Amino acid sequence: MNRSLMHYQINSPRIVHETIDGETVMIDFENGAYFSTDQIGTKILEDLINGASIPEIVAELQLRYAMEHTLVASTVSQFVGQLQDESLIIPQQDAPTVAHSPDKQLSLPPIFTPPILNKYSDMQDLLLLDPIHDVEEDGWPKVNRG
Amino acid sequence: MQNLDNFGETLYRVFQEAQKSVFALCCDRFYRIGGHNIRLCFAGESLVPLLTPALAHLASPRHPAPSLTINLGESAATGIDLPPFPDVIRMSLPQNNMAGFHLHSERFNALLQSPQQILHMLDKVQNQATFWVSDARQLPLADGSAPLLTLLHWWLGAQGQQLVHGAAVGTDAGGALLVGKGGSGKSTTAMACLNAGLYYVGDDYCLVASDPKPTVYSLYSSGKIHFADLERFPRFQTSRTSVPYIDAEKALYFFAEQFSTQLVTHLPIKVILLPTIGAGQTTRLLPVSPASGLLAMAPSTVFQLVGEKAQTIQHLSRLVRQVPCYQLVLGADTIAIPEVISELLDRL
Repeated sequence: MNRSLMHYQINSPRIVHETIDGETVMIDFENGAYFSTDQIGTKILEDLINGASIPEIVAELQLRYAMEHTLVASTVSQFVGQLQDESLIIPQQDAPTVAHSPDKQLSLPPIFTPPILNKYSDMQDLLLLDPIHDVEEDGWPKVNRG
Repeated sequence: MQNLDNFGETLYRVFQEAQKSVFALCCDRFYRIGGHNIRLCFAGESLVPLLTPALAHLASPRHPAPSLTINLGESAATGIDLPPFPDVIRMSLPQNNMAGFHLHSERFNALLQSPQQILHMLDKVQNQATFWVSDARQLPLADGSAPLLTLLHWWLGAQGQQLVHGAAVGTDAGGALLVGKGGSGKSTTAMACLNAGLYYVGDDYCLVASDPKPTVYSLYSSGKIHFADLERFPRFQTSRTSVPYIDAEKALYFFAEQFSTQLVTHLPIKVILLPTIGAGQTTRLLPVSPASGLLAMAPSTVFQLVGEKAQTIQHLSRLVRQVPCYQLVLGADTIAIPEVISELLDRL
């Protein structure tokens, strides 16, 4: 499906995210990676998980920063691709029922800069060396009954 | 999880059997941690010298109604084996590779560590816990420097307090929480401050609370120093333990006796510091965003503690919104570090 037509959500409960003063920290509980992103990245992420489509996000940023559409579109699309590649967001199963409206609380920088997704992998070895397996009702290891 | 609840109930009977088998050697210890009265009930004495030194500074008189009771025992000393583990763990437990199995029901939270065969189990309804080892000689360094960490994380978390991977030091002006991943300089900073006469709350793990105001509580009086750095702190030699914990990459110290006037039970948190090793001679401070503070504190805390991950992130997010965060760029002149921190605490 065309990514620009999709709606997304945080890949919960695997991913937890917190936004503080326009910066977002995300932690992947499954593989030990953690991430941070800046104000523009936070804006894109928050709009996505609040139901906006990529074209809506692009249009708003293009208007705000008076920039060329192609540049903004490719930047946003690339960033969303990164979020998906890192399993931070997943396509939403159902379309959002409430129309997206821009979050006026998020402060944005005066100049548009391509959003950066910082990835940190230093905790991953910890999980590999001393793994803790969560045992659920159906037992561990999980049996593939397919 | 029915199997876990059955296991938990059986465990109480097993512990009572263990107590009977070593009756004359059973003992209780009481501690005040994070404002709570906690009782440690030992079936036998074998675990007492291994698990209590790090808590010595928090020892308190016998309390008639402790908020939490932790039962502790060892198979090798009592001759009592644990009941069979819940059969939800289908595989044979790995003999060589380290692994833990975290099970939970509405009532119980349990962690089984393999291959050391160490059990941590909390009864959330009865406010009772069990810490059981197959053989105390297999206890890793972590269980001596930060005893009962998992059980305290679970129980104190339910009381609205949060364990954090970090050190804390301070003055009469308040406390500085030192956070960051391993190797960032937290322990070196904490040891330098202790050596210089500042208050010491803890090295590896502390307890924090946001209500009614940001506060850091002491958990452990221990400290760890890399063998390569021992000569920088010759004064600490008296506090070094001779107990042969296994897998020791660092020397382990218990400071309760030598530094009794500097070990404090709690301090108000005035600042969160993110130590990093700098290139120059001088130690300096750079204000950083709350998100940076969370990034330094949350991952290492979440991935070193078992369970309650989302709750941990929420607690720590709240904390970084309440106090300022600074990067503490450490200079080669480590003697100056405590003064930089002390002056900052006076200023805030």
